[in-house]
Amino acid sequence: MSIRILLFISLLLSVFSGYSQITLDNGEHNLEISGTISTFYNQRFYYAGNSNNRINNDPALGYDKGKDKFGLRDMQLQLEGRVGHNFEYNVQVDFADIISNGTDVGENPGLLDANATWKGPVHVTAGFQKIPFSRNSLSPFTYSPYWQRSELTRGEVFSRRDVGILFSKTLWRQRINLYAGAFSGMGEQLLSLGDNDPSGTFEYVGRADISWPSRYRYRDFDISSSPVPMFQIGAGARTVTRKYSSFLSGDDYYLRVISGTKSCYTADFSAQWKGFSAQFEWHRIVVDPTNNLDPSGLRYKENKGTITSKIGNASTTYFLAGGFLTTLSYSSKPLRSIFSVRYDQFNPNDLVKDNTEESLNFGYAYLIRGFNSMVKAQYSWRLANRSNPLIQRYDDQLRVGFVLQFK
Amino acid sequence: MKKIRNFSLILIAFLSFQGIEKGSLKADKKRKLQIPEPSDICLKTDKTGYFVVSDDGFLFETDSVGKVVRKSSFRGFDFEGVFQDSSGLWVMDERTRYLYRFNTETLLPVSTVEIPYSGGRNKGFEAICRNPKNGRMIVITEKDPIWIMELDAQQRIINRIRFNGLSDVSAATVWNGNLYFLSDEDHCIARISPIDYSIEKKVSIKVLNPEGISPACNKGLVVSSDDQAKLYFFENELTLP
Repeated sequence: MSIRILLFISLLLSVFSGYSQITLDNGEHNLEISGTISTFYNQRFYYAGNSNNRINNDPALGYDKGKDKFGLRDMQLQLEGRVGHNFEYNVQVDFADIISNGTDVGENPGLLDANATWKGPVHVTAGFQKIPFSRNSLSPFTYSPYWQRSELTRGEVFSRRDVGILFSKTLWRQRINLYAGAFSGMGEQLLSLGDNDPSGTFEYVGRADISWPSRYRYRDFDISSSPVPMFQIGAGARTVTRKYSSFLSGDDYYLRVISGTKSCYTADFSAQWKGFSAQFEWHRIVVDPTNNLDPSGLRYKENKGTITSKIGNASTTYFLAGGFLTTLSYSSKPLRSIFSVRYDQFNPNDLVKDNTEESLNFGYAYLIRGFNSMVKAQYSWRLANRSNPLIQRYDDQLRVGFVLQFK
Repeated sequence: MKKIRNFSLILIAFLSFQGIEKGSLKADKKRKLQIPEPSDICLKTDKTGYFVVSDDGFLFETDSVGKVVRKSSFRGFDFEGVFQDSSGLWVMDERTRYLYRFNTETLLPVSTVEIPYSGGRNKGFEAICRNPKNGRMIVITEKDPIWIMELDAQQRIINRIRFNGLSDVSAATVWNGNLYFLSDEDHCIARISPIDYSIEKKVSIKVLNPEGISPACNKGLVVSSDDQAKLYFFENELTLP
């Protein structure tokens, strides 16, 4: 391990300052080209009391250390265009995820954005885009000292992106943001599955937030050291009814797209002042499954949910999932550093006893040139009972790496 | 447990110390501005009011307390810099990199030149004024990186200097013969050497998202806040000169 870390530190030292993006303009059409590269070293600390981290899940065999690895998280290219006063478009691709054949499309889809916006009295955005629901999900990942979002918001529980149409409006000098949209309901999986669910229904999403004393961007870290306290509160809801669930490899909780009705609710609070910042975000998911099986047995895999006792195996018509995350951070300009700690709690099914997952995450970033060039580290400390076979994540993990943005 | 507690207390004390901004200056007066997202302000040459530009590409004329007197019918894209002297009224469009000279009677552009720069759309020219020492007009990019470009009388770039002293530059002005830069991310006003563009002195200000700076009609400086859409007048305590 020590040799690997030394090798990686030498790689980090080779990181040079970030560069600005490139803009082309003809007086009417403006095109901005930017991108992100990030890479990391991941080290797991294997817990001895659980056989799930052994080769072939056999306690007699040694640890499966496949997660001790170098990884390429991002290799993104973004094209943002503005035409005249009223039209914008946005295309963002992550080649690192495209090359990995989309094995985990919820968290890391190869396509991040492909949409166009008409900026009239109400902004209308059509295409593949981020769903305005969770504030943490809306906050760009490249502005974070963490390597992974919380379990709730990283795309395992609800889709973070989808194809659809979004109406948005800002009021009161951008202090109030309002969003309402209709999406396919398939989330990122639409990209690989193609067609919508046989029900042909949409997912409907709404969000509203208000900030004080001025507009508050979806950023979690006060690197500019705001001279006055700033606050934001928000809430969102989304609902979708599907005929079949659809699961893809990489699903941990089988909650992304379920058969029946799934409604999600969230509320959040964010504040910052003089480098200190705090966020709290709560989620409640109400799932009313029908457990309809796809006759072909190919595209929809409802049985996966019942095997793991996560969906609809009790004598009730619905179950609940949810949890919360809370983050406390400090950004120091003199030290060019962000220190952060985040507590995550997530229960994927309230009908299953003792399956609440908890973790404490420590994040640190050294900003060589702001967020454009930074070295960052995250340590995930699992707090839940690690010998509980219902828990998905029980090994602690350290991830160290660098991010270079051409933004 | 005791070690953890002691470590936590030391950490909190350290972070608290880091968080204290010393000498942050409060404005003597504030005025609401009926202009959305004001991005720069300059004193009119007759000192009776101001010209203000906004993010959505409009030029406004105001009285001495920021009340809008006139609005230009011309719309650019993202006006971020405005400055007036005997050579004219100049407006910088960050998105297109166009430098406009406006007719002060009609508030319409009479000439347009492009200052070439291929950096980020939102990291282009944010500041414009005249170097009080060499008399050249200067335009300054916001950040990543910050370039100070000196222009000749035909608005051609004749010198460019890399500037590293601030996180960003959101506006520039000349006051009492001295050159000043305003920084949005550092929340400060810096007095700049007109010879080598080094920072001579800096003072923090308690203004959220400061984007414009100008000498005030009466005395002191006025700073405009983009997010707050307010003018902040610093009349008495500012000791930078």
